[in-house]
Amino acid sequence: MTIDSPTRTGSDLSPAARRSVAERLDVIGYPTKRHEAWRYAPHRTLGALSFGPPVDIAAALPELDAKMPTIEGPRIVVVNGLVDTERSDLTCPDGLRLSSLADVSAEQPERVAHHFDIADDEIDDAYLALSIAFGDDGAVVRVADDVTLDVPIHVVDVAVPDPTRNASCTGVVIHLGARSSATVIETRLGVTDEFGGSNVRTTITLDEGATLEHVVLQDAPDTQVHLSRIDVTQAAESTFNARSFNLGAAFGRCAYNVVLAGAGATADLSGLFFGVGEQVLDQQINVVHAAPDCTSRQTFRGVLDDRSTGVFNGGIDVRPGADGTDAEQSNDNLLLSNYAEVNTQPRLEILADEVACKHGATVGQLDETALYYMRTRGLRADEARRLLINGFADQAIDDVGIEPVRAWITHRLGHDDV
Amino acid sequence: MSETLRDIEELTEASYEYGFSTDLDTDIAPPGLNEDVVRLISAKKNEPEWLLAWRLKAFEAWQAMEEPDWAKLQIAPIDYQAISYWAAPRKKPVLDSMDDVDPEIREMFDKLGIPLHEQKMLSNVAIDAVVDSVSVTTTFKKTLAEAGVIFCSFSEAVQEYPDLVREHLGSVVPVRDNYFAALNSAVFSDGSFCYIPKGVRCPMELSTYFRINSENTGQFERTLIVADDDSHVSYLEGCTAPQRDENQLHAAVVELVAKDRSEIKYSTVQNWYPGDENGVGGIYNFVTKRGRAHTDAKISWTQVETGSAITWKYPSVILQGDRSVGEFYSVALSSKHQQADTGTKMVHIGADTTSSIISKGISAGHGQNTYRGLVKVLRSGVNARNYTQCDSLLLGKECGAHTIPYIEVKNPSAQIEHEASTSTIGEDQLYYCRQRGMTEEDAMSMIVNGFCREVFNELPMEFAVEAQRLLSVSLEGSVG
Repeated sequence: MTIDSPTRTGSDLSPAARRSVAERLDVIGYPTKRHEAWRYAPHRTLGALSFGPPVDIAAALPELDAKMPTIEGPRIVVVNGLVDTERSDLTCPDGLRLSSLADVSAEQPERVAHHFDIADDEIDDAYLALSIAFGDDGAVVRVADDVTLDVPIHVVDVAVPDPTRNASCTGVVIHLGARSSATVIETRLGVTDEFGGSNVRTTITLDEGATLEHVVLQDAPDTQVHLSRIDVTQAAESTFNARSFNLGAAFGRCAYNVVLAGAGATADLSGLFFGVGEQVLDQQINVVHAAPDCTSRQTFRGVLDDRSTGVFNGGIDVRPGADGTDAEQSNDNLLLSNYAEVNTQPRLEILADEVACKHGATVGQLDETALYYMRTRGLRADEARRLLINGFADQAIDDVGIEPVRAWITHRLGHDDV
Repeated sequence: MSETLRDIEELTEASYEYGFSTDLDTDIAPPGLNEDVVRLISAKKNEPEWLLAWRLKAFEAWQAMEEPDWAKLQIAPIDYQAISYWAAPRKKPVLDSMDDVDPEIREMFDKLGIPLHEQKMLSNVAIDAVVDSVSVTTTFKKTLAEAGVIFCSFSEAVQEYPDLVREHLGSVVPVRDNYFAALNSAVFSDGSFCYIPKGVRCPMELSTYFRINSENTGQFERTLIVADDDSHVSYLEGCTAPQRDENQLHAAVVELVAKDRSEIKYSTVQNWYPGDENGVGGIYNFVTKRGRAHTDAKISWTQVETGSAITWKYPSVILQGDRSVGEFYSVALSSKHQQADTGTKMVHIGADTTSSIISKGISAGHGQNTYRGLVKVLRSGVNARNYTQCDSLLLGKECGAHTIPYIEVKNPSAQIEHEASTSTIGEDQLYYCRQRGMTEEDAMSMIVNGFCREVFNELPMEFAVEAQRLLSVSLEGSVG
């Protein structure tokens, strides 16, 4: 992997800090198979990524518009780590501010300081370090206290690999005020069939009693790498509903680090990963119960076909004093081919008593008797197969509240052809 | 129930019942580890050239390896040069009858409650008792010999059955397998060897009692069990160590070979000294246990781990043959400052293989208990089936329970299920029991025993009773 020296101008957000991040990168190095969280990642592919400051390609991207889900409402589009004002629509209803990360960094750096100022010893991952160093631009979503937004906010990240620097970094900062409620959809796409990638890092802060529905639609081309990291801090009585659809990319990674910091907070994460070809789809989830009486759910489903590989590494970490924790985790997987592979690791780490934690994982194939039953009812073998797979995947789709998003996913998975 | 409770009351007085030290005249090597020590051990035991070469290969491998740090264990650095790798009772009696056994050793075994005397042997258990490193006495040899079963100390097997040993030693746990297995391969002192011939059902349960006696000695024993086609054997292993301030190292290797249609059942009750209330002292227990199951064979591990300051142990089964079966039943308790990182590995290679894992972890005091397991289905593992259940019970505010299972599946016909739960003893459960006139301690003991029942049911009778008693004693003082 190659990186340029991170000394881009245009944002005065502590270039010194950024240089120290590059130094930090030298210390921690890139992950290898020996790193638990990167155990099943294709390290050779990752090694071919080259990161650096964003490259502004003011190109027309006609294919992009066809790929993007049509969702009414405010929208911010980030191409190769830079906000594309042409494609964005920053008109906002009352109580919502949608801005570019670079602008906020320049004008009100304190609002996004927590996204960049991360203690050295907490920078334990090379891609986090790269994101701090190069992910200057992106989106900032701020919802005021007591505001309930009806329209979803759409954040689109697009990777257009450039031969000189094939990977970009994007930052997204979401902050919901007390008792507010909003929906944010993050779509991650790529154009061209060139090799490259995108490293998107989202920092979410939920104040007391806030409710966020957060959807990730990852559909990068299968020639690219997509790395996603979502760090969430929840105050008391807040609710975080995450819906992740990890569908595209040669290596698609979706990592959540959720900290339930206030009493009575709830995190409900669900997701679907659907691998075909030689895709490697990696989900890394860690939910930390740091306060009493919090609830968390993780429900992830994987379908792996052809030579694809699915990874689920989900953790529930109950800290001392987090009594009254109620945590559940499940990962069900369907293997459709003799060459598909799944690696699942549901972890529990518990340092408090008065807890109720459960986890479960299953791996199986399509139920022969169900297939047989449908065939006796006159369905063709391939139809019956499709129906069963769709039924399995639909459980994850049903959790999504926004109709156009559901429609986009069903279409993407080819369900509407049946 | 009331009987058990009385036992508990008696036992609660002594904090570690087996914490006495017998003054044996011991032949001990100076501390330190180098090639000469490996040669010394081999020479002391009058070993053939091939075994010395094997040890040296292991020692060379070990020197190039790094101590593993992936386990969830806080371990003070171990100085491998400060340990003496050879300790043997100097008076090695010729054992024509029980009376020939050193009276001091016999007394020690009496304290441990092993039925070593002839009259006590009606319990139908043959014991290969190991004091420190050398096997002292083997009973029931005759009955076993009649059935054609070979059950002897490892050193004896090397002299008497070199071909059998040479064929199977290291065939399941190779010398380079891991750091502690390599160390053991280089310096193992003794252990047990068992061979069940074709078609033989071993007439009795075989048992080994290990005991670390001398100060500053590591115990590195090696067990090799070979069950030939269509045979069956049940093997019991119990461990106790006297109370010491220093941490003592114990790195054992157990290899099981279950040939076609055979069955090996291996049960362990491990009660090494866990250290005192402040976490001082205790045994470091790093054990590599693995079995290879051939076609239609079955290997079953049952363990009750109540002792040791550190437990690092993953009894595994390589399900190599078609239709082979692997089982793992475990109760692991960590109280005081004990840390346990234990679990199993089931590697499904053959077709139609089945494995089941039942693990019960109990954490009390400042104990940290981790279940770490791997279920791996290779591409060849058609129709592999696994069921895993890991339950943890937390008793107290300062302890921790962790579950880290790895599931790796490369065959779509595999069916894998994993379930785990972590909970505490409910206020309502305790309240109900107290209402019925039980003390809080009795109620807790009953609930804990119920939690472990599925595993205790797998243990042979006398082990099940011992396991229940151990559990109750170890949990003493954890209420509240």
